[in-house]
Amino acid sequence: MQQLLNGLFIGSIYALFAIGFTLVFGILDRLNLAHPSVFAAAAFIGIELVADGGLSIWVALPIVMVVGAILGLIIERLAFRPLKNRPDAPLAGLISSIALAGMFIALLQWRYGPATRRFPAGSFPDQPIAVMGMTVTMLQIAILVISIVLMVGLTWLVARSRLGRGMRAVAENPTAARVLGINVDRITSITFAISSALGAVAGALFALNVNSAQLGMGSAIELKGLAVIIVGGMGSLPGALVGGLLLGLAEVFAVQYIGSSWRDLIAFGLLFVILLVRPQGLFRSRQVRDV
Amino acid sequence: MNWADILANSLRGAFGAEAAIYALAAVGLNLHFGYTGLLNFGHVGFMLVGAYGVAVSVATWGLSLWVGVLIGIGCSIVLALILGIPTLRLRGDYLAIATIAGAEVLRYFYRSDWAAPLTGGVYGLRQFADEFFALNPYTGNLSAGPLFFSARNLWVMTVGWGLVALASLVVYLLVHSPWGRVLRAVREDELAARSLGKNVYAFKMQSLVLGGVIGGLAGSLIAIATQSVNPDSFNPSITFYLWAIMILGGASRIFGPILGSVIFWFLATFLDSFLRNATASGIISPDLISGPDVGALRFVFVGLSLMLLMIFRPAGILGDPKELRLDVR
Repeated sequence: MQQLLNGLFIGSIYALFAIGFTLVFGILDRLNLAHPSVFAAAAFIGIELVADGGLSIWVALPIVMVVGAILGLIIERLAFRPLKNRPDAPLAGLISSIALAGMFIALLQWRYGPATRRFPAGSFPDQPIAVMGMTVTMLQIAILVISIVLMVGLTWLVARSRLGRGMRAVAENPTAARVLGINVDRITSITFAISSALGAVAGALFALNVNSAQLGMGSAIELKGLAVIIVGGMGSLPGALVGGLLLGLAEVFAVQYIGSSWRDLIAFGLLFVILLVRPQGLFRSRQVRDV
Repeated sequence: MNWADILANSLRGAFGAEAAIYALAAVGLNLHFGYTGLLNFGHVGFMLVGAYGVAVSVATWGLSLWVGVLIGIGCSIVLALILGIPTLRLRGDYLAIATIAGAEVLRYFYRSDWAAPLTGGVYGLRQFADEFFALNPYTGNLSAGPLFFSARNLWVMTVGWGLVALASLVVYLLVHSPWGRVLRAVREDELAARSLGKNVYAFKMQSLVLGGVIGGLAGSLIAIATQSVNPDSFNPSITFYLWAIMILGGASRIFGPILGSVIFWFLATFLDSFLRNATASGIISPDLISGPDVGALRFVFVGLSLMLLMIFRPAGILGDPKELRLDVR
């Protein structure tokens, strides 16, 4: 049971990260490879706000979210918008978003140096609480609650609000959406902003959870995020949620029963098996073959 | 400021062993992306298995170096099959995802405790390429003015640029054969190629394997040149450099990767050398940029130029803007 809980906590962070990834993919049909660098940047910025700025974590988290949204706008503006009218736009966007991700990581290294950074001790109450024979910390509960609130909020936004209707219209057919008076450029920017804001919160929570932030954390989460969106089905929001929790659980149980070396292999194994037997993912949402 | 020094350094960078190795790897990537339209974002994974093929064979199993190179090639083929079998029937971005994930997971795998008895874990392996340097025909160092190459360096450079020439020739002959024409048809329009009865999946797989083997060879050469392997040196930034090199030179051009690598390493070493010189002589304040930041700045520079290239000249220096306007999905 204890392992189940631990899997849920880490899985909810994966899900939060992946849901941002898959949002851009599902609506705009672009894979934003700069998403992991937002995750890393948010962790470092969050630590700076708390450690050097002396802010409470509850003030720092919303700020990190806003910074994430701004980074999302920058990504859209620099890496995707200049290429949007080209026939090879999805592919060119992949390359330019990788380039932008490299720049972000390099700027982080310039600003913060290559060393691992941590939140100052006690920036979050971490005394364990015993519930029905299991121990959880306040931090873990907070992570779960924040992730679930954000994911439910996003699902509501996409399914019910006017903005969400616009997003789904753009996903269906951008040209038709434009004809019907939807500002496609604005929807695109907002989608990137929301996606990156979620990725940023995931980064800050992850850094809190493992109590460290490294420059390489982006590429580590990238692997997991990609596995999650493949398992859940690319572009599917509920798929990303289920996939994230599934991966979290699978990792925890792999460490428990097989050995800790296998933890990082689980993500790839899952990705490989799903691609082999069910490439559309558990929750099918898009065409996987062109021909 | 010592301009002669900076220039000499940059020239060494442009034609040195590293440029040759990156050019070789980029030739493989060019076959994948330039000629077949495959989105391989994990080319460093092929280099890693190639490098460890040599290192493990010699340092752990005590085999000959040349057997090690063959094992490295074998590993590259297996990796290409593992990545290609599930993804090459799907849209192009699935291969991109599988290759990113594959390269990353290989790095974890080779450094894990579980693999440590073979691979040396996080410490890696060293001193396994004496057999290669024993064949070195150069006896003395080369020094022409401020330019200096050690005898070992010259030997690696000769073999490296030799392999680049060989691989480029093979790719040239292949892409100008009927096989290569099918490959380019697959890149331009998969549906059209398939409707003409071509087995698109098989052609893509052959291209992935072949380019992967060239990447694996580049990896073996890195291992031999530095006499050491370490899982963390095969990080995603190498793939990123390779893409910059290929796009800069011009994808789907035989000389693209070679020209790209020479220019890339000239500019990268020039920037490094210039900044170090400038901070050392006080022209740029050390408060603004200190020694370790130079590496980070190089990265910013590479990222910026790759992005500008994608926006303003996606065909690179040699490329034909009309070709490669592909719609890979």
